[in-house]
Amino acid sequence: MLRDITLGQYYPGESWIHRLDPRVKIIAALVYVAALFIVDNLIGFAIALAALAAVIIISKVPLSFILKGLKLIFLIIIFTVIMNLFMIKGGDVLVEIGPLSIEEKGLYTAFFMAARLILLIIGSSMLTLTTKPISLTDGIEALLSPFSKIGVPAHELAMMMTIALRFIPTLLEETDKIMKAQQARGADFESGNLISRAKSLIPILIPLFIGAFRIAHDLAMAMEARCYRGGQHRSRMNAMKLSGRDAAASVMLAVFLAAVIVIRIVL
Amino acid sequence: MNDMIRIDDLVFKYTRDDTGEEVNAIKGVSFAIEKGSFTAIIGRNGSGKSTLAKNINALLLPTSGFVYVNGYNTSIQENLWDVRQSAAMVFQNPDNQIVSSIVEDDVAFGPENLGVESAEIRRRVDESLKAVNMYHNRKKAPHMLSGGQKQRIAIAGAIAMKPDCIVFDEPTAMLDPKGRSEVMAIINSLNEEGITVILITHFMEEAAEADRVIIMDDGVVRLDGTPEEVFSHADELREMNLDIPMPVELARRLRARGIDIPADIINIEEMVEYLCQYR
Ligand SMILES: Nc1ncnc2c1ncn2[C@@H]1O[C@H](COP(=O)(O)OP(=O)(O)O)[C@@H](O)[C@H]1O
Ligand SMILES: [Mg+2]
Repeated sequence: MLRDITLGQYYPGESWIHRLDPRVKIIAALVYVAALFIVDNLIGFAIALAALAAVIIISKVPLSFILKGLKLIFLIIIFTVIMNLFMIKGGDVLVEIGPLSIEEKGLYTAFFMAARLILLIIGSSMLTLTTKPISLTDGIEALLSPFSKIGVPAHELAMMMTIALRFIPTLLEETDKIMKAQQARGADFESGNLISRAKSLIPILIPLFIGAFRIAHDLAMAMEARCYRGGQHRSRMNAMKLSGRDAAASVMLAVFLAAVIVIRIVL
Repeated sequence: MNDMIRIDDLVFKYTRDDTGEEVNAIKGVSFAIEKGSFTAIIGRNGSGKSTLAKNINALLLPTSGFVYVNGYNTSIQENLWDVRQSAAMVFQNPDNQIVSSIVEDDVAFGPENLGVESAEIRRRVDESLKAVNMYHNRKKAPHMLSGGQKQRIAIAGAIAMKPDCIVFDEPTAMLDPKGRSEVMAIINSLNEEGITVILITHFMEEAAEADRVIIMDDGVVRLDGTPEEVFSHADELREMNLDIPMPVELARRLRARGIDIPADIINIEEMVEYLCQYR
C-alpha cells in the first residue's frame, strides 16, 4: 500500500534530464511552479503544457508510471473541480440541473484550477522522478548553504533527509515484523470501527518508537566513531560540477519564463 | 613505541540518567596491544567489553587512568580526530551503523568527514569495497543486502578511513553462520595486511583464531595470554560461564583418561590431524 506512492519516487535512467545537475533541476522546478501562477490564459497554459511534455519525453519516464502514483491526488483534484463548477457564480448560466447550475465564471475557475494543479503536481514529480534522492539532498544542501550564515541549518537538514531516506525502508520492515508478531498472538488490525482500529495500532507504535530511538542512539555513536563533526571540514566524494548541459538547460528555462511573463502582459 | 594501544589503570563509571546512580563498568584495567597483532576479548554480558571498546575510540573518556592510541592520549581534546581515525570501530548491529541509502556513499562517509579530497575518496571507496568483496554491490541500497553483507559494508566504511587498528564489537553476534564465516575471513585478511585487530566476541572458536586472548569479568582482566594458555584454565572459564572451545574440552577429557594431547592443539583441524596420527 505504502509502496505504490510515486510522489517522491526515483525512476532510474540515464537521460539528458537525469544527468542534469540537481541544483539546476531544483531551481527549474521552483521556476516552473512560479510560472504556473503567472499564467492566466489558454496560450500560457499551452506553453506550460508543451514545456512539461518536452521534459517528460526527453526524460524517457513512461507517462503511465508518472500517472500511476498520482491516482489519489487526481481524485482530490476532481473533487475540487466539481465544487468550483457548482459553487462559483457569475456570467451566463450554462447548465441547469434542478437547484444546481454551472455558470461561466465557475467553468473558467474550475478549468484553470485543474490545469494549474495537474501541471504543478506532474511538474514537481518530474524533479524527484529524474533525480536520485541522494543527489537531491546534495542539491538542497548546496542551494541552502549561502543562507547558513543567517542561521539556516543547510547541512543538518540535508543530513536529516539522508538518514530518513536510509531508514524509511528499515522502519517499514520493522512495522511489518511487529504487526506479524502481534497478529500471531491474535491481534486484529482490520475489523471494528475507526476508534478500535486506531487503538489496535498502539501496540505497534510503541515498539516501533522504542526501536527508532535505539537506532538513533546507535547510529549517532557509529557516526561519531567515523569522525562525523557536522558540516565543517567535510568534503564530498561526488563533487557537483556544472556542465554545458546545465548551461543549455538554464537558457531554456530563462526563455520559458520570459515567454510566460510576456504572454501574461501582452494578452 | 611499538604499542598500538596502551591502557593505564583505566577506570570508567557510568552515571545512570534515571537514578543518577553510578555504575562501575571498568575497575582498573591495564594492558598494551602490539602493532599488527590480533587480540580477542571475551567475557560474559555486562563484563565491560563494549565500554572498554568505546574508551579506545574516545567515544567514552576515562573516569581515571589513561588510554593511548598510536601514542595519542584520548583524554586530550585536540587528539580526538587522530584517535578516531587511527582506531576505527565496527559495531554489533549492521543495520544501525550504515548512514546512507547507497552502499558506496556510505563507505565514503568516514573519509568525507576527514575532509579527504574527492578523487582520493573515490579510490579508497573502490579499494575498500574490493577488500570486503562487495564492489559489485556498490550501487545497491543497504536494506536490500543480507546481514553479513551489511556488516562487510560497515567494515569497508572503517577501512576507508585508513586506520591502523580496528576494534570489532561482537561483529558476528547478529549474523547467520554463513555471514559469520565471511566476516571472520575478512577480519583475518585485514590482520594479515598489517591492521591491528581487536575482536570482542563470545564465540570461542573465533577467539581461538587470535594471537592473544583477554578474558574480562566484572570490569577487570581475569586472564591474558595466548589462546592455548587461556583455554588451559578450564575451571576458571567455567566459573565465569564461558564455554570452552570443543577441541580444548575434548583434549582435557582425553588427558584425564591418560591420553597425552599437546597443549597447543586448540582447533578442530589440528585435533583431527593429531588423533589420526596417534597410536
Ligand atoms: N549507558 C549506560 N549507562 C549506565 N550503565 C551502563 C551503560 N552502558 C553499560 N552500562 C553498564 O556497564 C556495565 C558494562 O557494560 P558493557 O560494557 O556494555 O558490557 P559488555 O559489552 O561486556 O556486555 C554493565 O553493568 C552495564 O549495565
Ligand atoms: Mg557489549
